Amino acid sequence: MQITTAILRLLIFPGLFFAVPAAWFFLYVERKTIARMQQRIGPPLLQPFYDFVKLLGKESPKYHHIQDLLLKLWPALSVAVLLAALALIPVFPSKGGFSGDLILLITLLELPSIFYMLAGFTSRSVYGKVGSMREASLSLSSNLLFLTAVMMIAVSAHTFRLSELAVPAASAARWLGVAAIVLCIPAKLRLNPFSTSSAEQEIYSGPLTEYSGSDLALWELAHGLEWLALSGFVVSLSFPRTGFILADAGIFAFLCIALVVVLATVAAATARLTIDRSVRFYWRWSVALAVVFLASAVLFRR
Amino acid sequence: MKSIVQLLIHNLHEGSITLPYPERPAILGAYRGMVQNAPEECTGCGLCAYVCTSSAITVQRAADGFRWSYDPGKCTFCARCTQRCPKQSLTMMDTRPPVYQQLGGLKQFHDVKKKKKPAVPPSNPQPEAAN
Repeated sequence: MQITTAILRLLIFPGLFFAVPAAWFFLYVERKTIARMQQRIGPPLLQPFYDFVKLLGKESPKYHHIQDLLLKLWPALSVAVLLAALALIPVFPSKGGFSGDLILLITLLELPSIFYMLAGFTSRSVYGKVGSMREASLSLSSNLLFLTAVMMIAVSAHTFRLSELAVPAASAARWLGVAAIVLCIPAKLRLNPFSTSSAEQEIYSGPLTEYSGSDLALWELAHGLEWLALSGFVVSLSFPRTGFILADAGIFAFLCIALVVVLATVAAATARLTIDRSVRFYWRWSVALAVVFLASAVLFRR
Repeated sequence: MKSIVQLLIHNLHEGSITLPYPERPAILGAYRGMVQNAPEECTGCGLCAYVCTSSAITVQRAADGFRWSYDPGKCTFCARCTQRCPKQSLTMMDTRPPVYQQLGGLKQFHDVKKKKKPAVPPSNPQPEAAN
């Protein structure tokens, strides 16, 4: 990929100018779906944007020099990393898609979770530390399934290149892998029933308890971008391309929104599990499934 | 699991029970809104201010009468003032207080002039009992 193409992807499409409004829209879909499931009217379409602007106008608490710097750094890095991840998602692999590989994308998708943990520890808040520890435990357990599923998809397709992976082969391994990744998304996005790290009734906002103002606005934006990146990643691995760019874009957007609606419905329908139950869920059931998935991937590989 | 799915379907089918701003749900039954005073009835006895636990009502002396003041921002809408008013000049509105933009925007007061006492006719002197 040429440097100009890379910059255009990062800034224009699917980067900053496209991804930020799309992230706000995904946040709107999430909140609206949960509201409808709870018989509430829900927020208007532009509410995530209003929230962002409102938070930008609020003051952030001041800390000592290095702590202040780090607390500002983590949300900014999360947004930057997620924009980079979005630029790699192979929506149109036939139109000069990314020439990199899956490992870079997985790394970029994982970094915001690490920044989120670091934010909790940096804030030195008790609630932040508890939230970060919970996030770390959940991340360790859910990533086992997530990485195994990604490995399975890669092994079954015999490649790590995203442009080749994005042309879906309708294999059992591919579908099982995608299903396993979908199972991990609630833990990665801190949605019910795996929202222990940001359990507002117990630990306020967990690692984000001490955040306010523009930094919190960036965290909210990062959450929307995580929605976009993870749903885009799953959909790009699973939907068949028609060859027409507009049709592909339409199908891609529709499936992404449908995935957000499904996961938000699950979040609305479930109560929060305790951290030990969440970890047990992924270790007890998902690890067994992951081993089966990986074995099947080796057996069904092309 | 089945009951949760049923509940979600019910909620989706029934639609939302909340309303977009500035719509508000209708008031059902009795409602204790802002206190209203009828100055022509008020005698300035100050009992309302005396029973008001949140000091929302004050009655202050003025040169030619008194000033009755009410701050709905402090009011707890307990209705003790209306119950204690000997002339029933205080009533409570049956609608919600309006949305206000400034601090103390709903404050109200009445300057009531001292009511002149009706002239009492001189009573007839009692004839002294003859001893």
